[in-house]
Amino acid sequence: MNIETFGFGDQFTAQEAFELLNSHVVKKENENNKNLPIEKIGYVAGVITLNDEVEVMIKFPKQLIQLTKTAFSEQMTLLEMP
Amino acid sequence: MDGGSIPPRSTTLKTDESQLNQAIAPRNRGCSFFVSDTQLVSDSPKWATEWHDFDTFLPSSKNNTGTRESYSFRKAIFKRHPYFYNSLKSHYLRIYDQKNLHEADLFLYKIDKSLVIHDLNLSSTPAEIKVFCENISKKCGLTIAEYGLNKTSYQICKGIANKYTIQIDSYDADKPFIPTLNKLACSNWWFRKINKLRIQYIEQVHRKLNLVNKDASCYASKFALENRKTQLENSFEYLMANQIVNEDGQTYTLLDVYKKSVSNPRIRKAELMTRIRGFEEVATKMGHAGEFYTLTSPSKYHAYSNGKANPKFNDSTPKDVNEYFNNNWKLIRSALQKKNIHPYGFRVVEPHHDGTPHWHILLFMHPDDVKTTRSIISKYALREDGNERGAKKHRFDMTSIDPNKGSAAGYIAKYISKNIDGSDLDDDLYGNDAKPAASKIDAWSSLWGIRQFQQIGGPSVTVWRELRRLKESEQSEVVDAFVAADSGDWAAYVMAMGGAILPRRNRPIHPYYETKIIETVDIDTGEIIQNNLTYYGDVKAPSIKGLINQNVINLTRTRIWKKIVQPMTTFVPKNESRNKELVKLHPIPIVRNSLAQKLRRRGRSLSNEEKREAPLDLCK
Repeated sequence: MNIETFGFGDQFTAQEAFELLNSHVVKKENENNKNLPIEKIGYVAGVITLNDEVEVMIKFPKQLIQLTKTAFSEQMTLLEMP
Repeated sequence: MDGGSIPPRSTTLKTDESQLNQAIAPRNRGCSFFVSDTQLVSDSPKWATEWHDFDTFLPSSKNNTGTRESYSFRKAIFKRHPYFYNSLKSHYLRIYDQKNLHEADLFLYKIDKSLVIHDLNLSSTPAEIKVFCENISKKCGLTIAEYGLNKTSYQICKGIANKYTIQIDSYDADKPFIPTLNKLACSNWWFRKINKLRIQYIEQVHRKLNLVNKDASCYASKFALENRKTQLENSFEYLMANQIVNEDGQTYTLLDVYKKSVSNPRIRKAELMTRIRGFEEVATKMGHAGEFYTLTSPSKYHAYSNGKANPKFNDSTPKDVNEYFNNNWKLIRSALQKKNIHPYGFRVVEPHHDGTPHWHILLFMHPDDVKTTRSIISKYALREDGNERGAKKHRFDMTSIDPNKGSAAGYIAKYISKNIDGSDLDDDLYGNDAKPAASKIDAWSSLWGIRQFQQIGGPSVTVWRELRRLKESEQSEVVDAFVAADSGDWAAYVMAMGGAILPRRNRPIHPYYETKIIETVDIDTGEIIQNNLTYYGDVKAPSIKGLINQNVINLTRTRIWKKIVQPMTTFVPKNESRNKELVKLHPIPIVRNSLAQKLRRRGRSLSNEEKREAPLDLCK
């Protein structure tokens, strides 16, 4: 599922970010891989708020990434969850 | 061990034509090298009849297998890896017979590659590895001496470590890098790292050569078991030889401390069973359902299948497979949290006969969540290669716990027992005696660094253990939890800590940690220097001191203990009763073995009573 950004600025609202918690994501380059190995799937592990900036933390097995809303929509694809 | 270095019996190439025709591959028969009296080895004490008499341990009928180049090639490899030469020999001949020489040589080449990292031969003995580590640490030490404690030294030394697949902390301008350089210049640090690599690589080759399975050696190879025995023997000797003393002069050996801690398998098992039983009582009280799941990895992770080597095997180690399960579980856990499902229970990791791990999970949850939980776990369990044959049948097994048929604790008790000491069990799944099987599972988990038992959800066991040390408290929340813990009632403890389902931050009691500072006196100036650094210069991690509730600290560790280190050479076994005590402590019968050896050294054999207790093979 692709994420559409709308409105002004590239910031998540706190509600948007918290709704993404525990969602599963893959990097854009892997979105068409049908037999995706487990280690390519990450999940939204946390939300960071500093002043007005809200960013999400994404945890992959060997990587931790911190992304703004624009970066998140550019680099990640949300996976359908059961 | 060093079969390849048997002095050759032949030094000169025979010119007998019939023998040459037999020994030399057709394509090489015209080569002048083989039709002269070319001297092959000049310093042999004996002369042989045939050049291939000192071949690579192949049976005499197979001595002339392959070409001259192939002979030198395999001889060098067999010599390099003495642990495997029998097995390599049989595999080599089988591949040669079934396929061709090229495939057989390729097989040897791959095995050799997997045991050699640059100039480091992992098949070397520990003594040889020690020499190697001393040399490499000296090399790093010289680099540091030349360039100083700076980034250049760090990068050069990091390059050396990475060459041997050893990862070190990344360079961070804000973080001190001196501890990393101190480690790289220490031969003991290198030995710990490389010896770990060594035993894991050797064990993995055992798995590749089908030496770890129900027909050869279940769960772990004989090499792994021997290695674990030596390790435990050294640990016990250290525990017996060293003492700790407190400010009141009370002295105990480290062994006495070991016996009373959860490192003692008996205590570990009892504590685990108490916790499982407690969770079950909580679940019964709350009306929660019990579920028992078994997760098995895709077939590509199994080295051995259906009585033969698995052609799909992707060379993954048990550690890799456990990593796969861990990654899988992270996704399952986050998916469950997304659905607001918070199960609690335990998981146990145990090996299949070929060393590939699988997970048993006991979970309690609200009955309405059972269906969703099953569907989520099933989806992720079958996400990788879920369409392969037999996947749906074998990869994910689920059972609802019916209290009329048996308790949840009963379901998992056999797995706990099988994986700790094998007591209360007759045999394992493959018909082996449970106690030696437990020893092998212990060797397996130690070798691969796999954590076998883990609690899922529920309150912290660290708090439980500290509460059992606590003497008194005036805080009502702490007193409630203390009474429950002191009476060994996990269910009451869970309720006192806010129930089974509560985020950790909301629990009433938390562990309290403090950094230990060692004070030393400068002899020249008399100045007291406070030191909180480790041997290598890292800042010490805080250690537990007590419990904290509503910002009030309840100290549980009030005494100051100091270790009295004695040189290992001064160790003399105190008496036989102590050795007998050790036998009871650990499932691996190492101490019986050493007891038998020590007695033999003293010219006395085991008594009848001791023989009854000790395994037969150790009493010989």
